Amino acid sequence: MTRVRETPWVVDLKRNSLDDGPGIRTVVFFKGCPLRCAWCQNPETVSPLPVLQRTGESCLSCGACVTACPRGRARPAREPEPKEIDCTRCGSCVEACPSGSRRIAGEQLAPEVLEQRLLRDQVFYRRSGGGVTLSGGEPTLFTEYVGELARRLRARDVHVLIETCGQFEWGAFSEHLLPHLSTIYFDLKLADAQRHRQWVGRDNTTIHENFRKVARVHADVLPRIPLVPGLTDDEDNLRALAELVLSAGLRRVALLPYNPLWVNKRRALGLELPYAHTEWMPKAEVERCEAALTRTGLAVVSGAAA
Amino acid sequence: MQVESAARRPFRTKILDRLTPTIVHAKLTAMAAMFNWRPSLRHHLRDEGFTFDATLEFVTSEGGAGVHAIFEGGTMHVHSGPAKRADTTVRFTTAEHMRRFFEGEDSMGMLLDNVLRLEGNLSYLFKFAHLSAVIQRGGKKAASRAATAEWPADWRQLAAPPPGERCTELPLGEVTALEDPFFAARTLNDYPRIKRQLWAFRTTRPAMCTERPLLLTQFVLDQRARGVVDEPILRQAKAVRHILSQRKAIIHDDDLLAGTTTSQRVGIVIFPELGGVGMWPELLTIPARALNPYDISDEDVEILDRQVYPFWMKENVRDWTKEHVADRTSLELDERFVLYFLWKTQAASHTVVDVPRALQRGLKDLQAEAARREPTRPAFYQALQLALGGVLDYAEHLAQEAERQRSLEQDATRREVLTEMARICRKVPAHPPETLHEAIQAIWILFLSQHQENMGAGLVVGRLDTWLQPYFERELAGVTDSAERTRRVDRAIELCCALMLKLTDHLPMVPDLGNRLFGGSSENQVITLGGVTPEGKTAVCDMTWIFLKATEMLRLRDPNVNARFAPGVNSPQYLDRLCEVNLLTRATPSLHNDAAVVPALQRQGFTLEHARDWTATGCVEPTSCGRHFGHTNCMLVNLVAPLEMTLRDGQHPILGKTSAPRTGLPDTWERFFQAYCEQLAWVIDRAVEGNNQLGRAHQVLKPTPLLSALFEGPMEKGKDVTEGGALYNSSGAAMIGLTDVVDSLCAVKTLVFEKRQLSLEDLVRVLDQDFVGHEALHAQILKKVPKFGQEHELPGQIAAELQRFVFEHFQSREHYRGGKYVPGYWSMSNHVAFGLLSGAVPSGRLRGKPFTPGLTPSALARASLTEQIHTVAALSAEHMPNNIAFNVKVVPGADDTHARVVERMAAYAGSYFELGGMQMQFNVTSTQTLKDAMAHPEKYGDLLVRISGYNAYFVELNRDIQLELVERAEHNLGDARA
Repeated sequence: MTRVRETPWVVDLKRNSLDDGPGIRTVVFFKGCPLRCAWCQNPETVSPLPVLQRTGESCLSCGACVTACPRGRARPAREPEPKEIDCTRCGSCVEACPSGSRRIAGEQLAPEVLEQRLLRDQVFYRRSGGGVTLSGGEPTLFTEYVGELARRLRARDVHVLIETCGQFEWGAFSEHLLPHLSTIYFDLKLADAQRHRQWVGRDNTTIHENFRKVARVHADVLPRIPLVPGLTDDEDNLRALAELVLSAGLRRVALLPYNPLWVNKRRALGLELPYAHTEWMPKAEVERCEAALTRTGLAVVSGAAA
Repeated sequence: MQVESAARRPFRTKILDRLTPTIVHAKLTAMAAMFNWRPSLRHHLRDEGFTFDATLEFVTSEGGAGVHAIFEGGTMHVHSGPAKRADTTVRFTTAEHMRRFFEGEDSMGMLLDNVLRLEGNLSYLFKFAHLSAVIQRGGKKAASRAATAEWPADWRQLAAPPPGERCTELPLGEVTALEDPFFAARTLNDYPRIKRQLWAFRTTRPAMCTERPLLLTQFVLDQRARGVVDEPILRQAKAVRHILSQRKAIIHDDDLLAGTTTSQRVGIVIFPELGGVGMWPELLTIPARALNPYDISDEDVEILDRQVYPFWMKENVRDWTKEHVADRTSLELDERFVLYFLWKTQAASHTVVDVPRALQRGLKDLQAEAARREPTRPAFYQALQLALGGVLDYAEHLAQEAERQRSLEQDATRREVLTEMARICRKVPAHPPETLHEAIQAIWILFLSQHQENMGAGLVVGRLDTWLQPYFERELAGVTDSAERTRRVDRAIELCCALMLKLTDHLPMVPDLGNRLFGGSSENQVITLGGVTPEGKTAVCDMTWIFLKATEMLRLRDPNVNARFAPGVNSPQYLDRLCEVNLLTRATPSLHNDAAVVPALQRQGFTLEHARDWTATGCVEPTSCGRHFGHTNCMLVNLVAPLEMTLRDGQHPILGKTSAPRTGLPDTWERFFQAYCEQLAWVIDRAVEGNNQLGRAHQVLKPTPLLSALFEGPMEKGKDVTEGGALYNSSGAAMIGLTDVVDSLCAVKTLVFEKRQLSLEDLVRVLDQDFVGHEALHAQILKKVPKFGQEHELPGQIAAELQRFVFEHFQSREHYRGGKYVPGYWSMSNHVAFGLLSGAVPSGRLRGKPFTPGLTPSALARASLTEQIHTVAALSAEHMPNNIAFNVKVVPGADDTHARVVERMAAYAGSYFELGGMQMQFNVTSTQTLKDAMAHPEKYGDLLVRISGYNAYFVELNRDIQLELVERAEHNLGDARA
């Protein structure tokens, strides 16, 4: 019996992932996020609705999309599309595009259907100590659906890990989702409430409260800090976040060194860039951040291995 | 076809074309003048006991007058026009190709490129090519080419690869005597003698060995001179005995094991009765060729050119068969390299003898049994006794040589070694061995002796771990002192290393054509480890772990180490260790699943016990040990060629008109698939016919009494293995390009018959244009048509249907010595060679590009590793009883620990096996490293890679194969973000 009220859109199932938790995993990316991080790695997942995604590099500029679009909006993926015409996501251009440079990101699946797809790689999870990672977007936006999915997976002995931004309603989360989670990766970004509002689009009070609560009641919580140059990687912020982690009774933290690939993704979606930094983070910088955290008494661990 | 039609060629070329026969006539006349009048050259046409009598004709396919040369009574005459009766017709695609041939272009390369076609005797062309080389080079041999890889000048400087990590948990029931079966505390530096031998192998240029061919030829001529006519098997037995008892018994300075395969340090074994004459054109240039150069002394050039090759021109298996069959279509198609490659022209080995029986009883006892049985079929049983006698003679000569060296030896330790060696060679293989050293020496003598009879193409060493374990246990029985136990274990490791290094003392003869077809391959002498015993218990034992240590330290391309894993029976630590050794060596061992292979063999009629007693053969193919004559690689078949034919009403773009069925242009998907199956069946039937013809020729020319004496079956049946004497009989095929065909069929079905986006005629036009100007269609095929490796219903379904058809068709074919034909899916390196001869196909693969190796999803499918594993594991092992090669290129993440990488590899392999997959082979080398090795080969002499079933040193591969390895899909094993 399902208890789903709303079915989220799934953007992607990434099989054979070795980067999002222990072992060999499948990552489910749900659509929709309550935050608006300026450096969002998965901008296509922010909106809770399907979006049209285009990949410029593979586009042949053959014009098949232009001919196919009933509203006259579609343009080859190498060019911008006119904002003044709405895209209804009818999929005509996707069907017409020979090079696969266009896709509608988003699919709605019943939890049992999604479960079956995820179980496909169960043998790999079991043999590698892997499992399923729920990510997004923000999976806690759909506590009942995701909770049901997690429950089903746990019943089949699948390790379930959630990656959350922490912005959720504690009651629903603790009732529907929390009991079915094996591991929680909890992202902490900025300690300063004002800067948090400015760069993430929301206050950090709820997030930090949830963090303390979840650390108290769940045995396997790993806080993660995205290292965003000039925003989150300064000594003060790192020290303040470390204090939060230590005061919640945890001793480990993982770092997510900056990855600039999101910039192109965001451009492909026709979105503006509120923050731009197109370089990978140098190893020395990552080591500096690690050292800053180690000095506070925290152990820095790998996000994939933890 | 790329070749311009005559009509479109420019005027100047047209004139040149018309003049070509005249030019060639002039060149040949000049050549004739040299050979007819120069005393130093006359022996090429007439020599002691030999006169070159043959007519060779040179014509073009386009018509136009040809030229022919008649060699007769020691002189050469040149005439215009076609010959009345030619022994060899060389047909060039165009006049330009004819000119290139006479300007000195490599004739074998031209044959492979299909710009030259041959009818009649091939050896005459080899002889002619040598004559041309003699003129061109003034009879001078080319200078030796510098070595590609750089090695330290002193053996002590040879780097010892790092060992693995200590095993944390001992595998239960698999290890009785070893403290740490991973031997984390040991490296090559702990075994200086082995290190010296490894260094010697690395730094020695292989050299042509004329000992065997000369002994054989002299023997045959002598028999003839004396008018001796024996039954074929007796004749061969006398020959092999002659070779074994006359050849030099050699023990090198450092040897623990006595005996060598050839008289060179690393020797090329030559079989003039098989493909040996094929080296004639290169005789003067082998030391200089770019790939796999060999040394050859002036004296050996002379021996081969004058005393060996002339006598085998008509009596080698290939040319003899062509002359003696009613219809030689199938054999001539073989010489065009497009549809299939038939291995029986070179060898019929790819098998394994009953080593345990030979050890348990000793050869004397086997000889005695043959003597008892002699009255029932005298010639046959005499033959067995003679062949075994040859081995015994050789062993005795080794004992004498050991004694001779001892009498001259100053060093006391070495004297002791030689004393022991003499004692052992007097005892084994005549009598059963008792110690590990005796058993290993016996195995080595048996193995090298087989090389005197049969070309080593896939001769198997065998299941050395289980066979040797009883001797190892005896070594340690009752020894309680821990230091003494360690010493004995180290001794066992050293002996296993010594045997593996002995296996590197020879190489098969590879003409330059072979460098293109089978780049970098050596003999593929398989050692199989692990799995289960005939009773179904774990076969993993102390000796398994010892061989894995030897494999890890030596990193040899050959012996080809294969490991069986029996899920639920073998320990997980064993699988971890296999993956660790694979990681450390980068490419070996390859991994097989007993749970899939054993039932596939049972379905072929093997009893459960016999199915469980299998070893890999050559590349991957299963053979039941010592009782199964299964020439498991008798043919390599191009699956893509029949697809090209289906698209063109039965005509192959390169081959033109053949007897293939005309299947028209099918108008529905069902009919298209049906037409493909018809074309494929025609190709298979041709290959099978060729193999049957060659197989029958072997029965007359090359029965194998030594193999038969060492097999289970022939002794009882009174029949040679080539006649069906073994307990089990089969012949195995390698089907190449399945992925390319499946992906192509998916595209045809989707685009032509479902979407009706373009017609079949349009598609063929696009393919003829290599997709140029059709980029959108190409992109659509690559991105939007389902592909094998993606979890999609269509490709899986087509693959399964196709495999069923191939299986059933093969099984229904008549087999020349009883038994069945069995298909498998691996490719050696022929996915590259066949790819070069194929046009663009509907899968989106472009003209000339390699096919996918073995049974591996295309990199174009961009499927994740878990998807790929699901797809390959889902195929039915029963339909692939000759096994598969699933190639997986993995790269550890920069920050991954050793243990993490091993754990990941074991997780993938273990999952694949649990899902029912048959075989898997990891290459653990990044694309980056491969590219660097192409740019700086001198630094990468020991970079081991697995092609499709065999290992090779990357820097010795031809460029096409190197690029294929570079372009394979690469899977990260670790955190890509790290």
